[in-house]
Amino acid sequence: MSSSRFTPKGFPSVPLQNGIGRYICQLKRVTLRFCKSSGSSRGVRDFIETELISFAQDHPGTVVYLKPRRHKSPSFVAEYLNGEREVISCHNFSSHEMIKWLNLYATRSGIPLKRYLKMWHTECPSIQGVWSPFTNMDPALNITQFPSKKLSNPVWEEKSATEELLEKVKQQKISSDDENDDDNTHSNRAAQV
Amino acid sequence: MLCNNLIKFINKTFQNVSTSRMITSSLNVRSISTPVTQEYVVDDTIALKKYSDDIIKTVNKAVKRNNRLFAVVHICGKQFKVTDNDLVLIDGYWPPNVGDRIKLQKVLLVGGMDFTLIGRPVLNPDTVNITATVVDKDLSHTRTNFKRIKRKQYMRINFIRKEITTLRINSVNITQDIDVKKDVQEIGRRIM
Repeated sequence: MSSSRFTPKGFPSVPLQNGIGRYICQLKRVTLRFCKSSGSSRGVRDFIETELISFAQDHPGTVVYLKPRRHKSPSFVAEYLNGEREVISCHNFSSHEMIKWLNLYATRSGIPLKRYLKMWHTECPSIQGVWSPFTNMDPALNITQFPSKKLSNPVWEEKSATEELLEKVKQQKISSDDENDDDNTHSNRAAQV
Repeated sequence: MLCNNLIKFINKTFQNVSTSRMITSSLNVRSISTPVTQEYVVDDTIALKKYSDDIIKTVNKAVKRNNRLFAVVHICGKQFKVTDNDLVLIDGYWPPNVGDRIKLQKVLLVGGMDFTLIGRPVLNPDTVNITATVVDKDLSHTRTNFKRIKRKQYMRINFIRKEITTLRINSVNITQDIDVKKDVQEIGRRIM
């Protein structure tokens, strides 16, 4: 049930820097073990008759061995370039299932199954530099003398209602003065015209 | 001509005066409506053009320095920040097979040491070239899908193994000057 607790966890990796130049199939050897007579390996026998050659042609980097063993349950062994080896039972597999499983093991990299903690891996985590609260700050801060009166004040102080009212009255006074001025200029200009 | 201009100017000043009077009057009646203002819009398109041209020039120069670039690409419904030789894992069914070389075309952002190009929403595929190789195609570990509805006698447990595809990013390049535009070009999903 809770397989995720017991499967080893890890980060994405690929053996031998695969794919940087070109891709190399990591499966180096496949050994098919089957019985020539028993019914459980009928699918494997079908696969060998019909599909095996095309599979071998598609994977020129992989060696395929056939091992007929009397009265044994069929299985195949996949061996990888990094030395990993996996045995997969193909008891009562159909030829179609054989293709599917063989293809899966051919596309794998051979690194044992793990639960990925991240879906991304990089060797160069930051190009523009890691951001810190001081990255885009004004360099003037470097030479300020502390304690500084300006910096000790709160960044934004809310105005009290009295202050706001006073400000409004001031504004009104100014604008009424403006009106008077405007009237004067108006009449002057009219006189000029 | 000069006289005409003068008359126009006077007309404008008159307009101004009237609006300012409106404001004061409205203030006198203590209305809280926003004050009406008029302003002359300065035509600064030429200055802006010069400003943007300068920026484009400096960015083109920075591109020629061939520093390492990074990009944000959209692959299979998820966005990844990638640079050269990164590994990206794609969860779930995704058709490309191992050994395939892919050009990633949904590039949302490309950046270098000292510049960043942001797509709206994607960048021009002629400008940015990001290639990747499919390196590994595997099944994930066994995950459990557990569903239960309380008080309804419903409980299901499923074990699933999804496909996981590993992509190796081969290159992140800017292939041409960033302001190059064809005479006729398809817009696609982009806003110019």
